[in-house]
Amino acid sequence: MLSDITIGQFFPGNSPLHRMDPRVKLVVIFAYIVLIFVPQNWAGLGVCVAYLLAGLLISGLPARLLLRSIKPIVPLIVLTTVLNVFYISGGETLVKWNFIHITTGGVNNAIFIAVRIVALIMGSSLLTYTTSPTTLTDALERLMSPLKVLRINVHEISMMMTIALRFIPTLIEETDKIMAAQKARGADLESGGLVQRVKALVPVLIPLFVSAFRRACDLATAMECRCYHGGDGRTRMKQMKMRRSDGVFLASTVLLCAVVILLNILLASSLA
Amino acid sequence: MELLKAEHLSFQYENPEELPIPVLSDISLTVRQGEFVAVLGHNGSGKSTLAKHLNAMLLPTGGKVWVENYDTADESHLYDIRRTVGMVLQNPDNQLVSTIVEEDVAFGPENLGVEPSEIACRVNEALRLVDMLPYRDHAAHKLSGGQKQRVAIAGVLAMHPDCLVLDEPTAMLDPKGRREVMDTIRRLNNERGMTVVLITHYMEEAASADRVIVMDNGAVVMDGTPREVFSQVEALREVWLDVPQPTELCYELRRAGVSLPADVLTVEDAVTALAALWEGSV
Amino acid sequence: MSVLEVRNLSVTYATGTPFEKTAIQGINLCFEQGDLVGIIGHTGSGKSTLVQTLNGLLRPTDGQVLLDGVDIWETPQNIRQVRFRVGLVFQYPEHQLFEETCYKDIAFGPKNMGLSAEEIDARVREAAAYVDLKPSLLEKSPFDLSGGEKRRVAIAGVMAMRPEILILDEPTAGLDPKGRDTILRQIRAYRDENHATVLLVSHSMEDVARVADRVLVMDHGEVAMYDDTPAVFARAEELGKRGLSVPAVTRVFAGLRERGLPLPENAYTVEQAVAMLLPHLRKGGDR
Repeated sequence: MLSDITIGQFFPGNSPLHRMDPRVKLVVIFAYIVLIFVPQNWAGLGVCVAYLLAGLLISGLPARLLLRSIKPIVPLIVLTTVLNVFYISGGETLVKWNFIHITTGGVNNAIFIAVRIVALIMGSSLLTYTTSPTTLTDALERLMSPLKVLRINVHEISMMMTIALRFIPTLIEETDKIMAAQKARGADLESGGLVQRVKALVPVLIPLFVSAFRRACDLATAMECRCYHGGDGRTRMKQMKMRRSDGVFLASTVLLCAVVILLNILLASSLA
Repeated sequence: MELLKAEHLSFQYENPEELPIPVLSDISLTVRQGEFVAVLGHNGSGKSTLAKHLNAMLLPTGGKVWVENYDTADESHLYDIRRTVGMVLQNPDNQLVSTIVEEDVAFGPENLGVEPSEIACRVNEALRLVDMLPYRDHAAHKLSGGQKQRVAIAGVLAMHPDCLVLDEPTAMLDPKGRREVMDTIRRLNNERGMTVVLITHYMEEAASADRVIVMDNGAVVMDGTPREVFSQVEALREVWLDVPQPTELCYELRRAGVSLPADVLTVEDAVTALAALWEGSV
Repeated sequence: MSVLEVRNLSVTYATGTPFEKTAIQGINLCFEQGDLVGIIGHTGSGKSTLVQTLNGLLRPTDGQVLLDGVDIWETPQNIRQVRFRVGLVFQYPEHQLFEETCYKDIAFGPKNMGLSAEEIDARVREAAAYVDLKPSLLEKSPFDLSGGEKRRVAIAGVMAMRPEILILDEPTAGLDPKGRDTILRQIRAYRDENHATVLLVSHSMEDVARVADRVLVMDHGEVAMYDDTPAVFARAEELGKRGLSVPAVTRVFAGLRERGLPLPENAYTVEQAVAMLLPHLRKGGDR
């Protein structure tokens, strides 16, 4: 069912990772995402994974939550792994049959890339699991505030993201309901070719849009009733303050970058 | 003290090419500090349009509306007016802005530019008043309808309003949610002296107010205590409204020639009146 | 034979995950042709799950749903045929309207049934008549109608499939007294004219008391009571203990009895109460 999707789910808590300045978290996760593509060897990737596990440990969240975050992209991982196994060659030959040629190099590479993707997804999940959506968009707003010079309305962008995150679960639930209602009138949403299926979605999509507009109108009224008038003169309940622990965290990330790059250079030269 | 005042308020929607559509016509009324007023009327009677005039969401096309000493047409006091008259809407799902309960409650004071430490205090206090403090870091969309609506009330309370206007706040709730919300509203009125204007079409809810205003066709047709209003069963039926069952029961018995008082409102009233009559007749 | 029967029905959501939840458990029920059954219970009592199982939108984890004695899941490919025979109107059905005109929207169900153009036309007009929809409204966009009218168009959309069993989930939610009375009257008319079975899920005891022949009370995923309407309301105290509010007249009667008045039965509608009280009070009035 659609409601199984866990986009941007947040698990409230009081761990050091939860309490960390969200701006620092955003910067770190950005660095981490870039960094995960840097290592050319298992040692470097191992350091990244170790860093991720340390984060998980600090967050105090159960590991199975992170495992669950992988679920939606399992097909993608399987696909890339299979492609890599078949198309990358090098090292010793393991299987050779007709056009199929599997080598140790291919297998090695496939696993390497799979681990990379998993680490990537888990890292970003760890961010959304430990940071409330509003805090996250707040942090984004503040990090992007230099863009105001370019006349980009950073506050509005972040408000739109806040609202989108708030309403995604509501609209998913609504879609489920509308689908059930149309099925009760005999709508066939499951069979037929592509064109037929797209056509069959019309009775679901139109009510969904109508409902989204109605909700948007209501929400706009509610926001006006609560004195919303854009970002000017607005204060925030949650202040963002860099603390020592945030500094430590940033420093450790810089260190991580250095180690991974160093490992790349060292291992490359030792091989050469 | 008069908190809200409408003077000859009229409102019509402009309708290009055709005649404007009148919605409210010549309404004059006042709501005093601490009053609990219920506004009754069938769908389309203009009761929601009236509510939207009380916090300057709509401006009169004729006449005036005053909130404390502010004329709602005076734009320079728009936020003073909306802070003073907090509004709660019908659909609990569509008025929560943030994913997390406490962040949503903070939305109003944040817009008003309140100091961060003060916002935190207000959020705490508001959530306590509606009995939702334990849910402060919960996801809003996972709450029940009654809980969501109480969070919406907290979001308005955090602006420290003098008056709450609730536009059919229980219409989409189950009986349990309806009870939770009504208990919260009554408590705010009784214990905190909060002025309440409750728009509704549930007679039982209106029966617990200090004063009932009945609207039909954009005009006020009755205005009095629940007993005064509900004793006029026929007039209410004419504007497509019910009366509470105990009132209806005694009304029907009276029509059949039994001598019962006209102002029976609650179950207890009916039991007392009927028992007295019965015992007197044995 | 009962037109619809439920045997040992259980539905569990998200089996095998930490979120596993049993919505209904081991339910046995029979619905007879022509009955108008009110279904009441708290949110989460399993009544929504039950009705969605009855027309095959949900597949039971255990047990059977028998329509005219045949298990509806015997041939899963034909489950759509079951949905035409067991019509389900969801809560706030006006949220499912999507066509350009009311006519086309009401025709959606019959069209899915693969009926001929003439048959569809006849069904649409018949259904529109059931809900007192003026023929002039049929060519209008459903989005231009008032709230009550929209609701009636949506209900007509299910009635147009001429289901033998019509299930409505809170058809009067959010309506004012006038809109509520209109819809309840039309539902009863549909039952009378088609000799259909109607299941009415409702939070309003007053509504159920007024229209239902039988009442099914759900609690914690099980059947708490299932009996003729007078018999269920005779157990007013038990309903109260389950946190269900009984109609105010029933409470008046309970209060009178507490005072020691010899009232033999419980009243659950105002008309009944008047009829039961009048003979005793007349006597007093005359003196």
